[in-house]
Amino acid sequence: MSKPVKYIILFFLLMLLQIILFNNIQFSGYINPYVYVMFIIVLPIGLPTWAVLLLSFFTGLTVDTFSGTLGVHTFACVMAGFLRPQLLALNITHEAYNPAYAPSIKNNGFRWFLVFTLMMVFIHHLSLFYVEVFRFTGFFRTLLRVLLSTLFTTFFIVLFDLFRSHR
Amino acid sequence: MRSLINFLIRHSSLILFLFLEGIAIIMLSSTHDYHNSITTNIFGGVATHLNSSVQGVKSFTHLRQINRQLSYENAVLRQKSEGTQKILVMRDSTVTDTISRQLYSYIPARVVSNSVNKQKNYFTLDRGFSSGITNGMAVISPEGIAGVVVRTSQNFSVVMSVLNLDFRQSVKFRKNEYFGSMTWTGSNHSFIEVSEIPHHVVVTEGDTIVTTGFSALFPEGVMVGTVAGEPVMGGNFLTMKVKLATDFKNLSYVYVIKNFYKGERRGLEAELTNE
Repeated sequence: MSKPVKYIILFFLLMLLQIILFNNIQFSGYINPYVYVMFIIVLPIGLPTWAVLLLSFFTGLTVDTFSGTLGVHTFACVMAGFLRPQLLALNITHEAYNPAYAPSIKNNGFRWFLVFTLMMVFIHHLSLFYVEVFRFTGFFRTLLRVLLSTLFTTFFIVLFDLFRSHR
Repeated sequence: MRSLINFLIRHSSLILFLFLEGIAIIMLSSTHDYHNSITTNIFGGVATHLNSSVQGVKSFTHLRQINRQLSYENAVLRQKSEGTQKILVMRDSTVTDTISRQLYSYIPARVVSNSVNKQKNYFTLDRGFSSGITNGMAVISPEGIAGVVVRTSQNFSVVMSVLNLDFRQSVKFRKNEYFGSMTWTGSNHSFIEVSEIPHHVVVTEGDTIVTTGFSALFPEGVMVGTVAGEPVMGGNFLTMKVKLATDFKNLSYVYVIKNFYKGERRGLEAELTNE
């Protein structure tokens, strides 16, 4: 399969997972995994920033439409997409740089992928939860929600990536 | 000119970033409480249908519990209706009775999508203005208070859940009529906070809290919940935790309440504030 087709399939798969499964889990107000961020995380490393930004925007808009929260996910996704190149630069050494590669456990190793995913998910969730609440009362409660949800989202993304690479 | 173009090219991703975040912020502020959302109108149909089918599967798995709730409610209603059959109306129908006037009518509706894990929760009903639902109508579940309609379309309506940081309602003790206001704290879907209760009121755990008729939204005396835990003193007022009667995680069938005299009452009250 060609790469764009793979990404389109991944996009729909993640959206369906998010909208049908994870939006309905409602395990607790503190744990809301948003696994669809994985789409932004695993885009090819060499993809220009403008493309990443537009794809992030579109991803957020789609989730917003289906969860009735216009703007919240869009804001968080564009934020994550914008900081992605900086995080990649932090995490990748010059020798290991290969523009065709997409971040994954197979390409970069478990530890690298875990750290990168954690950072991306944290940025996304931080902006998402504070924009959703839109107030600073209960600052630490929101922060706790961010941290717990980040852990869970990261867990599911790593699990999903393991599953992907072992097929 | 060339340096300007160079500048723009060099910072193109930053400019695009600011532009896209700008769009997101505009969308956010224009839909601050879910009204007027453009995409809800455009894609709303698809989204509602998908959510509706998910909810269909969920409500199928909850059938046993829903049946129990409904049969319990039937029993309660049957008890109440002895001798008062004309006043109590279940369907959206009008009663012609020269002695008692009908204040409220109840429109039954099914919940097609719901959430409890956000800070601002909304749920969607399968009835819209074609069934007579308009913005600002109160929504109750068989067990008690549920929310307020904030947006309607032809066949659907969106309800601001009690589990929403923006939800406010005045409530009182059933035993002694002292009133205060209720808000959701955002942390747990089965508890709300009741505040502004005068400090001399004796509160015991398990006291029943019901709505007041002050806002013309909810009828007086709709069940809210029971006091759970010791009240906390703040200023001259008490604040306490109240366990909600409605189980929002398992909300399937609700009633939308139409108040026949809301317009008249609001008009009269507005006259006073205009003076």
